[in-house]
Amino acid sequence: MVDRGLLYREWKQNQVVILLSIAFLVLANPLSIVNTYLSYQGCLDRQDPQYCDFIVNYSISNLIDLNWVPGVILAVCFLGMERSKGTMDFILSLPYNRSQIFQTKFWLGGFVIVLSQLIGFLLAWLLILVYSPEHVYFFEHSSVGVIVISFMAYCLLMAAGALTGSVFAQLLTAFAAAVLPYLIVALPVGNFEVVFGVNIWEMFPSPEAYFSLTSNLLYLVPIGYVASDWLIDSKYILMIPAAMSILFYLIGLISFKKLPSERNGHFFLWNRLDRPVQILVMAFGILGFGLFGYYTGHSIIGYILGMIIGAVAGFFVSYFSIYKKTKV
Amino acid sequence: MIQIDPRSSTPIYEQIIQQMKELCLKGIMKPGDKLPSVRELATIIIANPNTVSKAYKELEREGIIETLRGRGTYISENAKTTLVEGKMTMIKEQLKQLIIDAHYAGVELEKLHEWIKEISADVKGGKKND
Amino acid sequence: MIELRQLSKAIDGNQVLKDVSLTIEKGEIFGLLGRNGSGKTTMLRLIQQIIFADSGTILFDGVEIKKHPKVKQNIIYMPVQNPFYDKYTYKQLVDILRRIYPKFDVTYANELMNRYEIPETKKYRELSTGLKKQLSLVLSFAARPALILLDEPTDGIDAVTRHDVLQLMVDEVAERDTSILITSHRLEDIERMCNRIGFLEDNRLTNVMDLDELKEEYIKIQMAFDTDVNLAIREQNIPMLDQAGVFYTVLIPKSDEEKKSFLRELKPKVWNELPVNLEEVFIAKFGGKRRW
Repeated sequence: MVDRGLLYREWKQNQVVILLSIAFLVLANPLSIVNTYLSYQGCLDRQDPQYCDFIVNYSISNLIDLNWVPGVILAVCFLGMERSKGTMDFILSLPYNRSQIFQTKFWLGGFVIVLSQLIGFLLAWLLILVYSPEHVYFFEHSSVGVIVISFMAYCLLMAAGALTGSVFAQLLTAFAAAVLPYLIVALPVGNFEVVFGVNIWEMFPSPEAYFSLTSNLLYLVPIGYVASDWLIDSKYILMIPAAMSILFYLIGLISFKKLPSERNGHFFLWNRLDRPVQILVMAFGILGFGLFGYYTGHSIIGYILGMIIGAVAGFFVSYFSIYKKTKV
Repeated sequence: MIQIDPRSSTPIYEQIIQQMKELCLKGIMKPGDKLPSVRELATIIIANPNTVSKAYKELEREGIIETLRGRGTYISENAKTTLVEGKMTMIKEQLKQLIIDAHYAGVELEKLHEWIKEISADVKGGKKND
Repeated sequence: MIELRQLSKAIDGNQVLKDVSLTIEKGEIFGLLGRNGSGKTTMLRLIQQIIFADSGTILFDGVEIKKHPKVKQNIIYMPVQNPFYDKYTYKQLVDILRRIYPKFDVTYANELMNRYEIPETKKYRELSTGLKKQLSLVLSFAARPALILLDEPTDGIDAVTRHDVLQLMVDEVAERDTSILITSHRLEDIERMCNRIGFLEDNRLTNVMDLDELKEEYIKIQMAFDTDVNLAIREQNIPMLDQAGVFYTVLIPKSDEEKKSFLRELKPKVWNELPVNLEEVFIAKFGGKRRW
């Protein structure tokens, strides 16, 4: 499946990024432990020991919460940058089929991400053994969780890269997909509230039921996983990003195999996406700015004005992003 | 040795043939001389090897060159005679045309003889100074 | 050895190629001619599977390349520009390429680099245009392909480098029976190097023939008229190469008796039939409708 010649090329082309990613992903976890330890030591130096405690608590913000970043950068290097720089043609001219090419890139990145974090996890675990802190909270859950989440982010960016023709398009599409589930629900509901003058939470048997539903729905929004709310919930929540990873991987693989590459430089490689996406962007523009206009203007006038601005903004943004050809 | 002009209307293989023949006639290449191989000549003059091959085949067909298996290609022994014969036929044709033209232009046969003597003398004299 | 069957390709609504068919044999140098933007590069990119055809197939030794991309180990494509090479030196490129192309001959590559005195430690992007092309060519030939696709290999380089590039190509074909498909605007180089040529006109491949045949197929006629017959000639779709005062130069197929008799009927005062060269055929084909 993965040919050595092709793997070597991928490695050579992205050597620096790969090494930096490995460095970060291996060190992030142990360094967090070391950091906590050093703070504790520092506390001991300045204050009475009874006021200092050595607690490792991964539910507070942590270096490993950034573990999704290298995956994004790797995916951009593997796909978006090759297209923007025009080096994708060279790869496509090599004696490999498209599936092989995508798989090689994908698994190279995948292994870098997962293996590095596993090693980091191991190192951190060893440090915990050595330092013996008084309490350890959420360590395993968090460490494993960020592996899944960073893998999902990577898969999402790879899928976006397989659909788009430039770095900008790749990032924008991935971001849009990451917030899409939220927008699809929140914007229409918000507008519904304005138009019909109701408050959605009132339609629920209790505020708790409303909040419970909304926080559960938020788990379907990829970008939500950047924050650590999932950590204090059940560990089975992680199956959602895991499933999303598989979905994004398949979208990426199929898109890369099928889509034409003569549109490198264009926003979308699949020209059938152009119009629907433009309409979607305009719709979101209308709904979003409408809400904004209503809540700032406190009136229907503000609402309508907002909608008009949204339509215009949406049109121009989508026009210039999608339809303008950038020189490759 | 050989210069080809790709812009010329004469096909390249013909240019090679003509120039080879000229070299033989002028005595620059003598019977028994070894020719460069197809590959060598193609690389020197920068022409398609098939074209060079075609030229060599034609020259061989006309008996100007011969290929000895495993040894190479050489100017054949009777190359010069063959060429000279061919040249003589050509000159006779040209002379015929010249005489016809002269007749229609009203130039007398005696005038032609005079001119032949004059020009020959010049050429011979010129040759002495070569 | 390579066969194109009924290739069609549209890009952004433009029908770039339509029903293009072509076969190239071993040891053949084929010249693909056409104006800028006529689809020559597209054809090469289709063969190399960088883009896919809308319809039609491409076979290498009878095997469909799209289904068996591994056969591309025998085909090398040298595009006009290769951004991938930019950040690498010769040695690094050899490193990468020899793992992809199993027949890559490093010794041969080094030999060529020495012969042409191409710097081995400079990054590709630091080289001049001529050296870039030479290095690309060296790497391409070192991979020992059966077929090489060259996109404008001698355009834009100095005479010395061009001489070396052409010599290398000739040597490869003579020694190893490599097939070469070359596109170029340098008609002089095409005339030297190619067995056969073909024209990409509009979106079709036309007049595929031996170069020697081409010179026998067409004839140039120089005429003088005492009236202005410009329009009359043009109306008959007779390509005009030149018009200077009373002298007209046209180019027609030798066998076209109809056009010949038409011209004779215009009662020219001068009638000279001359042989043609490739540039004249090219201009007649693509610029014959020009207004002088």
